[in-house]
Order: sequence, then C-alpha cells, then structure tokens
Amino acid sequence: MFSALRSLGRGSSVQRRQVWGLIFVLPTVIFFIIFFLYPIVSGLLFSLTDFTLLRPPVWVGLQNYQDLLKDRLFLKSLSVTMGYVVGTTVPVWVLSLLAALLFYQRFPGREFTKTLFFTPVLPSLIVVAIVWRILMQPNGLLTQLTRPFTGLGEVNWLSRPDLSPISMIIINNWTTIPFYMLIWLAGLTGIPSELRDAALVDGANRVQSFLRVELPLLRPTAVFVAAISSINAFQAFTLQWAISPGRGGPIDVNTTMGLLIWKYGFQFYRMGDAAAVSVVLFAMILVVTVFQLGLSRGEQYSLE
Amino acid sequence: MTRLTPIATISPQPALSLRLAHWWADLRRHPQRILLVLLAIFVAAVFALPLYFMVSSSFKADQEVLASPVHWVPQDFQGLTNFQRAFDEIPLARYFFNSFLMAGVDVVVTVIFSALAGYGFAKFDFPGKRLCFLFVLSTIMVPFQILLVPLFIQIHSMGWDDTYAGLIIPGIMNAFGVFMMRQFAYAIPNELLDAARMDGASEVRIFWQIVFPLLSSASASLAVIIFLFSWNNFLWPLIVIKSEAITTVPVGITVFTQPHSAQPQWAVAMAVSTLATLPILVLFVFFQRYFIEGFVLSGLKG
Amino acid sequence: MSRRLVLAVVALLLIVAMVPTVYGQGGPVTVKLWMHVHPPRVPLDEELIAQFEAENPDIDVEYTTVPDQEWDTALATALAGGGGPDLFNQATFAIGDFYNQGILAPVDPVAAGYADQQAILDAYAFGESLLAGAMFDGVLYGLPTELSAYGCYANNDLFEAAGLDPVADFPKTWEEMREVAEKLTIRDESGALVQRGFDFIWSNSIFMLLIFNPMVQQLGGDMIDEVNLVAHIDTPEVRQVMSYWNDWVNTWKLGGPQYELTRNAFLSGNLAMDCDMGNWGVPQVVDAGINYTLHPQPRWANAVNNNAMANYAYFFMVNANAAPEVQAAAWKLAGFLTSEPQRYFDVAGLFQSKKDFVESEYFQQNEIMPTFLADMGVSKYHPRIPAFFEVTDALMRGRDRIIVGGESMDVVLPEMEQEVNDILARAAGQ
Repeated sequence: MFSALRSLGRGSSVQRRQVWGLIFVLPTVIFFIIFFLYPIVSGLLFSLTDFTLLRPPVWVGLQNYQDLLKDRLFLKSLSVTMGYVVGTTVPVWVLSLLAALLFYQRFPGREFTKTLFFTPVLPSLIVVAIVWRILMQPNGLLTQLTRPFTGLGEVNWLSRPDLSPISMIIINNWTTIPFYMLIWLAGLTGIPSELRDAALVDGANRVQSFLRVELPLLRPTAVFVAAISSINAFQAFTLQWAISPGRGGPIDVNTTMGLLIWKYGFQFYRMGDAAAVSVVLFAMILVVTVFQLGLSRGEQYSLE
Repeated sequence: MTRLTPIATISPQPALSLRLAHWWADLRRHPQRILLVLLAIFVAAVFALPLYFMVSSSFKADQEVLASPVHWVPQDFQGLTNFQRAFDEIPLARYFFNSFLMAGVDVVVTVIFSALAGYGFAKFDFPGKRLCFLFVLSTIMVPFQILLVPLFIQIHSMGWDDTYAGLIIPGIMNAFGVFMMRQFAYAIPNELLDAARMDGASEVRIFWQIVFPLLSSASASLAVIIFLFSWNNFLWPLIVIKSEAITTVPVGITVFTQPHSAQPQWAVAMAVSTLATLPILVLFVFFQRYFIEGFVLSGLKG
Repeated sequence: MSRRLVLAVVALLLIVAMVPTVYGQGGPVTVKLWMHVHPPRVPLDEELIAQFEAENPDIDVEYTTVPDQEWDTALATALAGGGGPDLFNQATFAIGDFYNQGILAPVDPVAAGYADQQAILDAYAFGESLLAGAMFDGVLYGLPTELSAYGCYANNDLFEAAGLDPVADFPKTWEEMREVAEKLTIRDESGALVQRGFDFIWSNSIFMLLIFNPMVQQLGGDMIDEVNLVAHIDTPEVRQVMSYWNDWVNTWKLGGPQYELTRNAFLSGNLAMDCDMGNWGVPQVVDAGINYTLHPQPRWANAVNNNAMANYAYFFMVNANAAPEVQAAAWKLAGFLTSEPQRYFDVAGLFQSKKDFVESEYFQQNEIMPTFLADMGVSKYHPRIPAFFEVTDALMRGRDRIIVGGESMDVVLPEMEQEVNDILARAAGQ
C-alpha cells in the first residue's frame, strides 16, 4: 500500500490526485477490516476451540463440528430454520407481488391505502412481538377473527408445538410483505409502459401481458427479493427470542439457528459451539446467496 | 452498469376537497375501479389493524387490553395515564436519549463516510481500488448473526463491554451506504469536478462543497434508513448492554415481553410500544419519499 | 450550518461515543458494586453507601444497577477476562458456574466484621442450611442479601365462593391438592378453563429445579447429584411426579402451559391457589386487592422427606480477580450493607435471616414471615451445578415432550437422563 502511494506521488499531477481516492476510501476499508474481516477470521478460529469466555480458549480442532452432528438441539434447529425459511420466503414473494400489482393499478385513494398498508414495516420487531403476543392470546383477536372458520373459541397460537412455528411465520410475514411489495412496485414502475401496451395491442389480455412482458423483466427484482428475504429468514432471532415459550419452545420447535447461537453463546457460555453454529449458518447462507446471485448474472451487483 | 431503478416520486398533494372531487370523477369514468378501491381498503385495513390496536390500547386500562371480544375503541379511556406509568416505572427518558444518541451517531458517520468512500470509488483510480471495493461489497453478504460471537469477544477484549463505544461503533458503517453513494457519485459530471480543480480548490473542499451537496438526496435516503435500522436494532444492543445507563429503547421494553416478569401491565406495554414507534412514524410521514427510495435501494429493513 | 461545524459535531459525537461509562478514579481503593434492579431498594442502598463512604474515606463505591432479566448473562460475560464488578449481588442459580470457573473469592470474615466463618453462620437463623447456597467444600463464598422460597397463597374470596374455608380446607398434600383444585375450577361450556383452582408454573425452565425436583425430593429421589454431577431421572420418584404433572394437564385438565402465567392469573383473580411466589409477592398481591392467606407447601401423602420447594437466594459475592485490598474493602462494604436486615425488609421486602432480626418481636408478629421461614428451614437449595441453565433447559424439553408432545415417559426419561449427564460431564470437564 505504501509503495503504491510513493509510486503515485512520483507521477504526474493527475496521478498524484488519485491518491485522494485512496484517502477517501481508507477509513471505510479500515473499519471493515477491524469490524468484519477480523471477527470473521477470529470466529472461524473460535469454532475450533473450547471457549467459555471465563477461561482462555483451548484448541480442539474439529471437535465442535463433530459434536454438532450428534447434538439434538442443533439438528432440531436445522429443520426449524429450514421450515421458517420456506414459510417466510415463498408465500411472501407471492403475496407481496400480488400486493404490488394491486398498488400498481390506478385508483382513487391509492397513496393513502398504500401508506396504511406499509405501516407494519416501521416498528421494531420487538414492538411487533409485544403487540402480537396480545393478539395471539388464546381468546384474543386472532382467535376471534378465525372463529367463523375454525369454530374454536380458544386457540393456543403460541404454546401449541404444531401451531407455534406457523404463528411466528404469520407475524414475520405481516411485517415483511409490505416491505417486499415496495421493492416489487419499484421494479414494476421501472418497466416502460410502451412494452405492455404493445402486448395489449397484440391482443393479449392483462394476465397474459403480465406473464409475457412484465414478469420476465422483473427478474432482477425477483432475485433481489429472493436473496434478501432468504438471508433475513436464515437469521431469524428476535420473534423467537421474545415470544416463543421458554425462548425457542415449546419443545424447541422455534429454536432457529440464530436463536441457538445466542443460546449457546450467551446463555450457556459455550462460545466455541456458538461460533461453530455461526460458521455452519454462514456456509448455508453463502450457498444460497451465490446460487441466487448466479441466477441474476450479476445484474444487481455489477462492478463497473 | 445497470442503472438503479428510478422511484416513482410522490407529487405534492392537492387540497382534500379537490382530491375527493377528482376521485369521484375518476370513479364515474371507470366504475370498475371501485373494486380495486375496496380491495385496497381491505388489504390496508388488515395490515394496519395490529398497529391501530397498539395505539388504541395504550389508552385502555390493563384488563381492557385483553378484553374478548376486542374493544376497538377504549371504553374506559385512560388519557395519558399509561404513558405516565411507563416513565415512572422504567427510566424511559434515559432509554430514549441512548437510542437517539446511537441512531444519531450511526446516521452522521454512515452518511459522511459512505459519501466519502462512494465518491472515492466512483471518481478516482488508484491501485488496489478493485480489491478494496470487492472487499467492502462482500461484507454485504455477511449476516450480522455470524459476527455476533466473535465481535462480542473482540469488543470484550477491547474493554468496551457495556459502553457507548461498544454499543455504537461496530454498527457505525454500512456497506450498502458505500454501494449506494457510489452509484450516485457516478452521475456527477467530471467537468464540474475538473472546473473546480482548475480554480485551485483542494480535493477535500471539492468533496464538501460540490460532491456532498450533490449527494444530498441520496444522503437523505440513506440517513432515514440508517436511522430506522439503528433505532430498531435489537440483537447487538441486547448482547452488549448491561447497565440501565446505556440501555436503548428496544432492549429496555423487553421487560414487557418476559413471560416471567411481574404482573404484565399490558396497557403500559402498549404505551411504551407506541412511544417507541412514534419517532419512526413521524420521520416516515415527513420523509416518505426518502424512506421508500432508501428501502428499495438498500433492501434494509429495520 | 457550515461544513466545518458539521465536521466538528461529528468529531465530538465520536469522542462522546468513545468515552467508556466507567469513570471516577478517586480515593485509594474503588469498589465497583453491581446490584440487580429492584427499585424499592435503590434509595436505601444509596443512603447506606454514602454513610459507608463517609465512615471509610479511603474507599470509593461505584454503584451500578443492572436490569434483572439478563443479569446472569451480563455478569458472566462482564467477569470474563478479569473485568466486571468487584462486588456483586448475584442469584444462586448460576453460582455453580462461577465457583467452577474460579471467579468467587471466599468471604473475608474479619473484613466483613465477624470473628471467623463460624461466627457468620451463627449470626443467621438456620445459618447452616440457609447459607449453604453459597457454601462449597465448607468454605463460604457470599453474604445473603435476600433469602427466598415459595409459599402458597390462597385467594380467600374464591375459596368462600366455592363454599370452602381458605384455612381449614387448604390442601396439605398433593393428593388433596387435586381434589381442592377441582372444586375451585370453573369451566365454560366448551370446557375451556375460566378459573383455575391451582396450576404449576410452566413458563421458565428454572422451575424444573425449583419446584419439580423438590417434589421428587419429597419422595426420596433427586434428579441431580450436585456433588458427583450425575443425573438420576429415569427413577420411580421422577415418574410419579411427572405422571402427576401430566395428569394435571392431560387427564384432569386442571391447567397447563397454554394458560396465563400462574402469578398473573392469581393477581387478576383467575387462580385460587398459587404456590410459586416468595414473600416478595406480598406487595403485589396486596396491590391487586386480593384478600389472601398464606400456607406451607403441600407434601406427598407418602413423603419421605419434609422439604418444601427449593430455597434460592441472592448473595453478595466478590470477584476473585480483584486486587486483595479491593477484595477486603468489598467484604467490608458487604458486611455493612447486610447489617440492616429490618430496614431492607421494611423498604424492599428483602429477607435476611439475621438472628437478631428473626428473633425480634417485630418479625415474630409478622403474619406471614414465620410460615416462610419454617418451610425454608426444612428445605434444601436447588442444585448448584455448573451449566445450570443448560440443565434446566434440557429438563424442560423432556417435560414438554411428555406433557405437550404426548411422548412416552419410557422413551423420554432415559434420554433426558443421558442428555443431562452429557451436559454435566462437559461442564465438569471444563
């Protein structure tokens, strides 16, 4: 780096000027070295140690990973996380796209209803958790609203092992559908209307024109939505921490990998195991991201 | 490079009576749109309901919050009693100060350094640029969850446990900001910069007086998003904060989510939740355009 | 606003952010004291600390309050690597971890104002058993700030509404408990519970060692051997208690994890008997306007041991990594702050069983405290094991597999035992 600086300094004034680019960029790069690169590398190393915070780390090689393979809680968290990822991605993509198509239409009061629709995105997830904990009381609002269909006057949304993960998904999707709607809407708005009009002239109906013209053009948006929503889903923590019975229960049906990292690291002081779970989670997210970015052919993150 | 999609801007709203007249005329012309209106109202109501419940319940008595069937309008109206109780029971003012401090520092630092770095990446050509940019960009793909344990250990070994530094500094920068600012900085005409250089302006001055002002719209979008993100941030503060003195609002209000806390005061919980959401709501009402732009460009959600 | 001003503001904000909250290097010795947040006690703490500092000009006290909910985690991480407070007020739940990790300094009796350790034990009623919570291998590691055990509260009005007398008819055994609870239970037409007679507290895993295990101990069993760090879960005693809890929910349908937390339900008048609050619950019960009586915990009809629920406590403990002179000053402060049991009891409801307080007429005339103390005196502490929360987590998982998931005890109990043994073995090996 310094020799590069010196060589630049000897060059023409135009070249010398380029040093300023480096100077402008440097604080950010240094920050990311200290607070991203270093922790990632040290996290990898910690995952190879037995470390309780209270005592210095002891090198154990791959032992933590071997232990994870027969760790009941970890194996459970894998399937819990996958279930949560499925539940908070595919339905969200479809519903948020449908909502975007609705608000893409022209009708009176569109801005007002769109703003109302968007409000769930704003509060902190912890606030969302508190509100939904009340709405999901056994005889609360949700039971009241579903009673005509289920006939049940009391539903244990949060404490039934079969329902509880679905409840978490409902709450999550309530906050994320309006958010992804906005992204879809931006994608739709970016499609030149002449293209659609041309299709309509060719005799296609609205649905056909959407499938033929708009949907293919929405591909970059779709990749963006898919990537962001699945990365977020893999990290699920706050809802499960805040309102699932016993932090991840009942019977661990809400123990996501994100929650497990917290549990091992900050409740059981098993930092080495927590780091190992983090590495596994990282690998999983990386695979999904690379796959999805591959689909996009780098359209969103092109370098030049 | 793919240009980032321009966002539909929301034009200034005309007076309500004019708007209503306009709507009416519109519906007369396209009667089928009434279906869309009804559908939109239904969808919006479903999604806005829980927040309406939160706000209205903050004026109810504790038992009325749990009333079944739900009371949509408080029948035993409590005025501001629940808000008063909240401030009496937990040091809420302190929590708010801490949250504002954290969000404020995050916003100022992120915006300035992102603009600086984005400009550096967009308009200069120095050795190692590509590598630096790839490195910064790659951090986008690292979810925070992964950093949690090692970052905590790092902060701990730096002696930053339970300090504002430990709370704020690790989140002070955001690669999305750099990426976003770089896109906008590209659009700045080189002639403008060269003209300033001819006039003998220093590079620092060019940044402050020409580049940064030109990035102000992007900065505003970034600022509101970072504010939202920081204000609602939960996981890292939960880990770092120990004493009440530096507790932020989202961590402070978890006292109401605990299943084993003392008698839960639902109305107070709703009042605190309403207060915690208020700053974001106000920002959203006034800066909706920047919010939407920021959301779409960054993909960040609080 | 000029650009320079903006820069200055940024710089200032950065500097503010960097200033750690730790400050105040004054006298020769500074004691960093951490207390968990209990608002009623704070003014008294502050008053006594000021008095202590005036009497000991060479000692400075830095007083920090820490929110209760993540207290164990907060403390554990703060103590790691030699940081954290010098003196802290800590619950006994994680004390096994702290002891195991070598963080605790033994009590310095002389600094604390006693002749020797025996003098401390003698100064407390039931000293041997109530201070056992901070005793390892005969050495005392803490001075109690709050001793606690659960009593049974009855809602007199609900008893009378059911035609029962809250004193005469309060169940003495778990067998009676089922009958009395049934009489006090009200169901709606769909069978959902509108009012419960009694229920266990299902919310937090620590109750597996504070309530479930003591019921096992009454029968002569014990899920955890604290000395050898071995679990005994696949036993007839555990089966009997687990069957009782399971029947409570699934056969007799008297309650269960899906219902409102017992403490809250009791306070809102929807639960007639609550056996999971200490004497700290009294102000809340009074505030809620509930006309109550207090009773000892039920025992099994065929009980072998006469223990009630598990004792637990908060103790002043000293960080073994603090400098020797700081440790001495910390014990001096701890001795001073535990010298006013009556004031802490009056102001904050915190109970310390100092003999001069317990034997005073004031205490003896208290309506409820002798009941609590009688049960405490015959009860044992919860096991003080390393990995306490991990073990309770595993126990609760097993409980829920049986009671919520409907799995067979024949399958679950051996697996539970294995899981807990694995946890204990790993924790012991560290």
